[in-house]
Amino acid sequence: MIALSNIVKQYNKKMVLNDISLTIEHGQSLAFTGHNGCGKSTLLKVIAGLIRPTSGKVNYERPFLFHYVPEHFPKMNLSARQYLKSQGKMDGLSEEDTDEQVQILSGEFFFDQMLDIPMKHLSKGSLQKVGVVQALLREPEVLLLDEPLSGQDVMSQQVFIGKINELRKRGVIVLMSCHEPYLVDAVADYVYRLESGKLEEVTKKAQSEKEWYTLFFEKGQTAHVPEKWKGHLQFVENGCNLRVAGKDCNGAILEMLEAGWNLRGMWNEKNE
Amino acid sequence: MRKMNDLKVIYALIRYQYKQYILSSKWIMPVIALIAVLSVMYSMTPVKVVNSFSIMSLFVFLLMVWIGVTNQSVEPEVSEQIIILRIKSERKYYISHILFMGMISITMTVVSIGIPILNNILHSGGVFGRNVIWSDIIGGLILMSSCAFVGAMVGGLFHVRIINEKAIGIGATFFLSLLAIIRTGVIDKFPASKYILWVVPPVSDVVSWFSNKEYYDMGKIMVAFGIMMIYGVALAIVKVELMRRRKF
Repeated sequence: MIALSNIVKQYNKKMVLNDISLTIEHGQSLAFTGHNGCGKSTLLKVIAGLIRPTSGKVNYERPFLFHYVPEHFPKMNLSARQYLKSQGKMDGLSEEDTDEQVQILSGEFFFDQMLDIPMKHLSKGSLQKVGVVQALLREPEVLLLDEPLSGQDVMSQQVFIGKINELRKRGVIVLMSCHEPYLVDAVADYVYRLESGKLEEVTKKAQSEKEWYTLFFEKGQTAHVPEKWKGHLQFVENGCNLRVAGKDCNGAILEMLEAGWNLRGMWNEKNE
Repeated sequence: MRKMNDLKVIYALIRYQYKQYILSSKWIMPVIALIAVLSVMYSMTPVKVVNSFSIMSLFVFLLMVWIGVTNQSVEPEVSEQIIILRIKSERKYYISHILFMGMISITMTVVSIGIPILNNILHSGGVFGRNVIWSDIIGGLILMSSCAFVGAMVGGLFHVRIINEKAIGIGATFFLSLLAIIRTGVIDKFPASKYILWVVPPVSDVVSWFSNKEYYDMGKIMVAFGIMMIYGVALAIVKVELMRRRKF
């Protein structure tokens, strides 16, 4: 359990977090939403103990192993393989286990061909994948995700969501700062909005047995977004992803086809 | 078992920092500067063994201040955060950094002493005014590496997270290094300044013990080493604790 009591964080007299109290239990998945610069990343770092709050306290049941996926993974001179192997060793993994994990995860995230390229030459999306893989080399107790999907391709996003949901099943606490309703729907149990330094719970989604599907539509020439699904779509290069409950699937597909979109893929998140 | 794991983690951290540093190319200019100074220093032969090693100790101190400053920016802040969370200890991370700087200090010292000695062997003893004996090498290594370590600690002290303004941090580092070099002269001229200047590492004092001496006095070398280590470790502790307090 992690308990935040009356956390206040000020930067140059600007109140970023204002008297925030929150208790996080094992296996919970929390999403913090809000506009850019509202303090989501700061809150994640305060929870992890990377930033000292101006006042208030964070109490941990015991020292947790946090892994962190940053919003912008830095460009480095090391190759992705060199970097990931170093991180594996710091995690206490053996040479063989690290190599195996790096190979498996880089394959799953479609960047195994780029492992030996210096990270300074990788695109933002590929760097973001390195950021995700380093956090998954060893199972953490708390996973911090700061806008983890930025720049990632559709297939990698699906893999990522599957991995996060696997970790949730194993009791890992997932805390994320996120703009995308799509990701929030897919992995968060509780959703909070951070505004003017205050934290407000906006949705409390019980861990239901609902089946969720992600539909991928390619954009047709005359395609438009049906009113009902605005805000549920995540736009990608050639189309969009729509996440819907199983019972709404047929209706959603029909409406999207009528609106000029072409169905190109469908995933059941539970079974990946 | 836990201590063993801690050592493994620190070893992994040092190896990681070594790779990062080598690939950063931030070492190239200091190495060029070192080779240039060695070339000038040993161009007019013969030179006195102890004297030349003592002067080189001052230079290696300054060189390591430079390396200490530039090494601060090798690791991006985000990856520092990732590592600190991963190893569950800020202290372990910063200690590994200090050990890494210690290793660079030793490397620079070995190069600074090894090159002239090698040159001396290649020129059949023409570089130094007399035969080099083991106490010259050991004394020189101890004196120079301790000066180098203190230099690295001075260079890393005013980290951008300790003094937010980078320019002020570099200015403070320059001022502290300068004071370490001119400390003896300042105290001679203004004796009262010793009540303030005791905080400055006594690099010039220690080095001056051996200037114009024909041989190293190993007793004095050990005292010098002890004093420099106290200052070096004190600076390291101050830095680690300030970094832990300031966080990110």
